[in-house]
Amino acid sequence: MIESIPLSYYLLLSATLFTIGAAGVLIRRNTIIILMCVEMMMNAVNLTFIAFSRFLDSATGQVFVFMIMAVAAVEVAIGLALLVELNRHKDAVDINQFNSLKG
Amino acid sequence: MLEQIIFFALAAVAVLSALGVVFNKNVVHSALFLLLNFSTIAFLYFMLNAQFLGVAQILVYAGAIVVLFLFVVMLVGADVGEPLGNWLSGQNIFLMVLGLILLTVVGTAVFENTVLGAGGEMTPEVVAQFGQTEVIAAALFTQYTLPFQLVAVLLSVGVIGVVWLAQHQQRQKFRQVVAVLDAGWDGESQKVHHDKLRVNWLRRPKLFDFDWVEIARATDDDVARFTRQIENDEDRWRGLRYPQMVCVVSPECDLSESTHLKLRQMFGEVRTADVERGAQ
Repeated sequence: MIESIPLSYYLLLSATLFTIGAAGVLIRRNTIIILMCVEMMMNAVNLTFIAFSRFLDSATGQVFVFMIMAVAAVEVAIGLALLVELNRHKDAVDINQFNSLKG
Repeated sequence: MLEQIIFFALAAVAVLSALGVVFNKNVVHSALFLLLNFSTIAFLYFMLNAQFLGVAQILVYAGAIVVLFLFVVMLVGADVGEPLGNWLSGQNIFLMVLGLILLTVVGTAVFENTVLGAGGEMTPEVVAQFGQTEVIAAALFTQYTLPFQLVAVLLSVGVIGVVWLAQHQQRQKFRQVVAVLDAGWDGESQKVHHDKLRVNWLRRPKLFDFDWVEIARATDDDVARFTRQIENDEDRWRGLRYPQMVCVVSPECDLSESTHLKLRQMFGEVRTADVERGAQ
């Protein structure tokens, strides 16, 4: 098997994507975009798992990614349901508006 | 060489689309950039010999999750983009510098320590003999059975939670909310009759979500104040409902002809009938 691309390239790409996602969570105030950035961060971690699984010849990393995907799907479904409910209460998607638990 | 070209092209698209998600004013465009990002990562999975997860990535992320995002953007309204005028505020620059520091630290760690341990069970020979999905399935259903079951429980909890959230916002306590204008009504400003909520507007002179109007004992002046408030109502959903409402006027309240005309213009139907009175 040809291994022309070293593992560190994949890890660096995944670190870059993770950092962009983290910066997006910190910079943006739109709750939908924040959820998207969280998904991007999860994807970056998944890429790390798959890269290690490939270079270690191990199935464990792929099993982990499989489970992370299920968790991510649940997280997005619940997060967006909460967002729709919050939007109904406050008529806003700006995260600065959601600063009290009273709704 | 070809593999490297493909890798760098995919990596560039992935990073640029990630930046597109973050630095985009329009939420729909962000969602489409997210789709591109997920797809490029799926191709990277294919390059990493993880075909099963590449397909799962396209199905779950690019399919379900992005569609869910677009659906919510549609529900919430696409015109909610925040202005990007003050992008270069001190706080944002500080956060970007923080991100660069994080990237530097992680990148250094990655390049300094890439020592791999012993090889696992998924050697090319095993994959060639059994196929890749079979190897993953063997790990999933033997070594990781308990986590697999827990993920199933988590999915069920998620489904129940989302259904509860969606149902909770529709559960209404009252079948009908009546706005009553009754000057002789003492005490509380609202009364509950079975599944009907009757609110005396004269004691609580603010607009609320009613769907029936009853004028029991009121003067022309009271009705004029009431109609003026409805005319100035800026809620567009309530504004659509007024022309379909029924307004019941008690025969014992002595309203002028112009007030009756006003009520007929405002509501869909004006009846003259006896109105249930509040407490004396």
